[in-house]
Amino acid sequence: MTPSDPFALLDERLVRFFNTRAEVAAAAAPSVDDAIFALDRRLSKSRGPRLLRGGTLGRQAPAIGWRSVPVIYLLVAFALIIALIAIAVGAGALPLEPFRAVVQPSLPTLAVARVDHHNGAITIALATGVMSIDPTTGSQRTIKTGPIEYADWSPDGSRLALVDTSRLFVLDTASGVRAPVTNDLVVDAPIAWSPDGTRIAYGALDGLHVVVVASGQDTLVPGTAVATGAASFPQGRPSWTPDGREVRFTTVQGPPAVFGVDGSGYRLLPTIGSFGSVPTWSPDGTKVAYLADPLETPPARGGDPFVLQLWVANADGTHPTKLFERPGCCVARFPIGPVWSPDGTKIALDVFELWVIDAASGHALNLGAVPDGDLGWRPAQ
Amino acid sequence: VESSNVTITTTADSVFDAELAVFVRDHYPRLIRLAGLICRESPDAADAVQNGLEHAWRRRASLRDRAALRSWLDRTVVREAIRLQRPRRISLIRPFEGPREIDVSVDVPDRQARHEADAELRIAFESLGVDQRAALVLHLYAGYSVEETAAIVGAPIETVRARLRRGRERLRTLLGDAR
Repeated sequence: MTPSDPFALLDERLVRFFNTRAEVAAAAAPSVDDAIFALDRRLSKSRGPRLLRGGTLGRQAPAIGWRSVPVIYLLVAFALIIALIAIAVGAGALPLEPFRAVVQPSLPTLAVARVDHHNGAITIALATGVMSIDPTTGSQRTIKTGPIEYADWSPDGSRLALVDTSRLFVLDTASGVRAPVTNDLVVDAPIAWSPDGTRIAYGALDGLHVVVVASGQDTLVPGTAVATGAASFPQGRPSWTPDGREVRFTTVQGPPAVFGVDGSGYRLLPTIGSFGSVPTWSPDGTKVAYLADPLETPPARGGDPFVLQLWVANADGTHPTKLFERPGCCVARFPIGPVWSPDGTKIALDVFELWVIDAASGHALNLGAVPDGDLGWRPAQ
Repeated sequence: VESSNVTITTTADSVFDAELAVFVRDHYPRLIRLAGLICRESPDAADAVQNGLEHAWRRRASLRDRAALRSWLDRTVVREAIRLQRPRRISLIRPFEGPREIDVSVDVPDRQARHEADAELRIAFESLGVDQRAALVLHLYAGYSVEETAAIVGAPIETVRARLRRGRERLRTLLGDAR
């Protein structure tokens, strides 16, 4: 700044303004502790479910950074935990008790937005109940209240499976009856109805489970048990094959896998998408959709860390086609991933805004910003 | 046995938590002020900083140099703040056939700052485009040179010079004085 600078006085005034304004912005912003907590929560989405610390939930609960902790720490901790579990289980003293979910502190409402008459409505499991939005008037009404962690519609659209902190319910939307299926679940990933509407698959820290809705019988599928070293922690919504005999699922640390619901035929699938992406298979099982970002590509090599892409490929990951792209960061922030419509022609995707994307052409419908939650698609009735 | 497992978990968690806390405490105060000056709404600034921190944390192994990390973080957060300030397209892009009517309610952010020392200058400054705001903030507040500002926002040096000049000219006009 020089005396001849025509903007000298203005610059002085601007600097004073900036200094004042910056302090105002800092005061209005979340505190450092809140920022640490929020970042921890975000990172926990990308590195998988968090472990329990001393029985506490939420803010005080720490997490193991599966991608962030030095590998040696991870390996030592994992080996020790496995050894302790093996000893305890062998002695009959410990039924895998150390593994528990940490429940999200903020619990939800279920928003329903109708998209078309053929595929029904998109739903979002959110805070304190079930909210529907009238497709013609925009009016909203609460059809059921209660905390919801994950939700999924039955194949016929008549029932809604709900998971709160530890219980699985099935809500009959016609009668409003909310019947408990089991009271002792620890669910760490979105749930999925079987095609015949008799079972529900879900991921937990110890592996993938299948619950029989009628009886509440909960079975850890043997081939997926993390404690045996056969698999990594499941994440994302499991995808049933159309015949209901197998379930594909994604793991936190490895490639996706498929297993028979009777525990047979466990095998890994080719890696699909980049780290953090959650591939989702179409209802007919022939296609897979997944998010990708060029995050791992340095900007110097042309990578843009703030681009999110939706890809569709054959079920085995071959012949990938980029379907949709928009600015944003990062794939790991969207653990729900893409959600196929019941007829497999469209894909719902919540990346900052809710989009409905034609699975063949990539034509996209923007439904605006929606609250963050478990995205689902209610079949037409 | 159960308490032993909890102890192991807590140790590993503590390492992670401590590193993360130090990382955020080192950079958050500076970044939130920087983003807060560029963004009109506080939530956007917080989002920009969170996105930048998340990105940097995931890449921290390749960004050990403290000076390089600071510069890289500033660039990442400023670019994210600029992106968040650009008009968002909420429109139908080649809509599907058939009846539909969706209007999921969106919270409208409160654009009125509650504490403002210089309302006149604030209004004038916020009327500038985000590119001009970012250039002025980086150059006058953060102390970056024109060349460094250009590198941060990813624009040619002459473009940044023009943004600085036009931004000041517009402010002077809006403020109604000849300074």
